[in-house]
Amino acid sequence: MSEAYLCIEKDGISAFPNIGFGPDSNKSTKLFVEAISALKNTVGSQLNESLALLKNVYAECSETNWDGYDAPPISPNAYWETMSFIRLLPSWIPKPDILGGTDGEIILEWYKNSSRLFAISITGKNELIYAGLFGPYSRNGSTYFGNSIPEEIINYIQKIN
Amino acid sequence: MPPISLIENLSRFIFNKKHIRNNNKGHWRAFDPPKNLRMSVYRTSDIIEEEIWNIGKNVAVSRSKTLKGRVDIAVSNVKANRLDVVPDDAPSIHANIVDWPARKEERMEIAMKLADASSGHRKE
Repeated sequence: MSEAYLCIEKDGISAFPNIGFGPDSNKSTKLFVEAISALKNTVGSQLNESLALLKNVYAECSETNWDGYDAPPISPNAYWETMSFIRLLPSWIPKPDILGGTDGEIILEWYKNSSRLFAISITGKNELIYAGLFGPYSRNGSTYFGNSIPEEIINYIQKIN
Repeated sequence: MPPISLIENLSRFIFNKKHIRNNNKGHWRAFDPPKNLRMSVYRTSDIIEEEIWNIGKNVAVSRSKTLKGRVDIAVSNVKANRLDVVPDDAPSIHANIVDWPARKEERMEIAMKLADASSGHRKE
């Protein structure tokens, strides 16, 4: 169930320009490396927590009637598609809660309170079905999901926090 | 049983602990209807608390589940979302919330609104 990805980083944020010298340069390099390491740990930890929760929910909802109201088990396609979605989430997006749905889908939810929340139903059919309450107004809709998270979805998630 | 009135209270029994929020409201998933779009509820306005829980325990046994709690909602809130409540007398206090829209995303939005207007009660 786990996948290994080779991460090749080019001249990104974690590549400290190696043009200085002397004690001050050494000190700032060390601080920079520590900061980047802490950032990577935080981001990796959040991703791992979400993937672990997904795995638990998939196991909990693996039999018909898991909710007491005849819900079918979560479909394998919904599981794999949700895993892709979580991996594609930008690191600055808070991690969602994860639940089983009534139709074999997986629900991701961002929640502030009962009148400010956003949820996505991931069906495993390249479709994101969503709804949200944003205080005085509400929205619902559906959109295609392929290799990236649609901007409208990111915008709705941002409205919750 | 008398006809459904707007001031009546409906209870839906919960078998998943995540379906009750920590703020003592229902989770919207508790109001997300099953595939047949008939959401099972019980008319509990005239029933004492202890008896409501006894009904819930019986429902749990019939569904081979452990009762985790219940969510309550007024009929007026259900009808405000263009849904209807239809008694089916099986048993006498049972009813179904019906007239859900065909589109899943619309049902999710309505479920969120119902949850916001609901109260959640965990089984001790």
